[in-house]
Amino acid sequence: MLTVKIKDIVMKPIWGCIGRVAAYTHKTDTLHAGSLLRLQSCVVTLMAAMMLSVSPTAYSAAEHDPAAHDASKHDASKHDASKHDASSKVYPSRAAQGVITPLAPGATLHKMTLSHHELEPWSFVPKRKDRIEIENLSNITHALYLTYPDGTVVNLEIQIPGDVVSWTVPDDAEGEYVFRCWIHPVIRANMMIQD
Amino acid sequence: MEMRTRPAIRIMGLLLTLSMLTAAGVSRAGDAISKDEYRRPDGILSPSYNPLTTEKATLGKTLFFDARLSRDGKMSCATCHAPDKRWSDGRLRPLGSEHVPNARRTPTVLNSAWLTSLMWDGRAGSLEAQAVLPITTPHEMNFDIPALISRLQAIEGYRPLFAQAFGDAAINQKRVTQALASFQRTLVSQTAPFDRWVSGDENAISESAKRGFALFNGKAQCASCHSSWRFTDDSFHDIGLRTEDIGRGAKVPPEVTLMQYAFKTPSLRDLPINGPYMHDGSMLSLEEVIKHYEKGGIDRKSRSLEMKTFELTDEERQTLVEFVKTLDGGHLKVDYPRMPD
Repeated sequence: MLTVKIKDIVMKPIWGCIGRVAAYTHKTDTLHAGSLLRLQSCVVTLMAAMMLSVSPTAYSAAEHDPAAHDASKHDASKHDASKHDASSKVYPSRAAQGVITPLAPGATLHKMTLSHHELEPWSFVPKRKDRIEIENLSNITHALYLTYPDGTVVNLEIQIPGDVVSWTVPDDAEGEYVFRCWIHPVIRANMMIQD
Repeated sequence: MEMRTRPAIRIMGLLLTLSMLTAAGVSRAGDAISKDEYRRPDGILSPSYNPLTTEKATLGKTLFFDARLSRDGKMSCATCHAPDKRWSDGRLRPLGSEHVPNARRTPTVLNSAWLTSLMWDGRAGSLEAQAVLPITTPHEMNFDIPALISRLQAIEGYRPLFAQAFGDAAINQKRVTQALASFQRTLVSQTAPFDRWVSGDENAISESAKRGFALFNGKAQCASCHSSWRFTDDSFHDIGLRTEDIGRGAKVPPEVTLMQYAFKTPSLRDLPINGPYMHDGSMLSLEEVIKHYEKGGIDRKSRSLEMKTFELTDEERQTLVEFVKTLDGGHLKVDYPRMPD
């Protein structure tokens, strides 16, 4: 809806400008430098507007606050979820608690992407305290979570298209950490963390 | 300073044409990708721990139709997954579930070789794991596995079938479930008019259905969840139905709000034209289903973010129905096996 409004706002003066230049040109059969400059700026703006119209997904994503969520540690309040088959321990993300910590000194920021129904292959080797950011490049919503080697489950928040979530490797991490999506169980990525 | 009009207009025209071609190219590429994403696979998937063989599928077929897999000997897998009912049962609620709270409609077993999570709430991760559930569910086959194994071991005619499938005549739970899973993997939808269209036969479906396909991927956003050649994402969504059944919500931590009232996206292939539809069989026509999605259902925290309201004209709604009908490849018939004595 907002995209349509913006396109309307942008296009109106463009068509007006083109119309005035065309009318003047028709009248004089000439095109002045000033007019040409106006025409060029119109064309550039027009192209920008057209680009906007062919990328509604990217623009829609920008409408949402893309602030990264973080689920770095699991010292939050514990929930007894033993009756569920997903895990015996579940923790809300740090973002859910309003806690986002800065990247630790010496730690690396890694980036992953989530396409329609899969996490794209990655080439980095994460180590303790590193942070992994995952951007949702699909046009559907995801809800990633991690399962730690001891069964702990950490939610990474709901991720609408364009959103970025992040997970900071715990200080004591060791073993296999599994990324999955609550909505789309087919999404799965196993990541080995070693000291 | 003056400049002749024609070169300037040419430049402007060239820029505009390039811009429009770029826009059209993006749009056209999207169309091509959409159609190709629904192309059928060539073979049948099977896991490395249970590779598909003719012998296992043959044994599995016999077990699938054998009512002796139920405690009272009156119900087989095929009772609720009947070939002439699109491998479902055509009922609003399954047989025997009249007094079961929140009973769910029987899903088809067609194309289950590709399933990554089974049951409406995803509580089974494989066909092998799922096979045990109806056998042991009280209102279904109501049996227990040890008693079933003993019963099968006493049927002499099963011994050669197990031997051919597994190399020796031993009968155990693992082999029974592997055989049942193998047979179900062979149940694949027949080629539908839509498949022929995807393969290049432009006359395979009507122009109306083609417009329906465009709506399916466009304004109606059906493809957000009904994706792939099976028209399902094998995923879980609350689509805003009025129900007390929390579905997958009972299988995941309660903090995962989006999974409350969420059920697995069913395939749209080979649908019985008069339903029933939805996990609870609450809708009996495709028009009713489409209107539900147009309105968006109950607005609650768990409702899927893919549920976005839209409005269709009667004509558009009809084209969407016409398109869904092109996914019907007809009944997949099988020869009924002879029951071993």
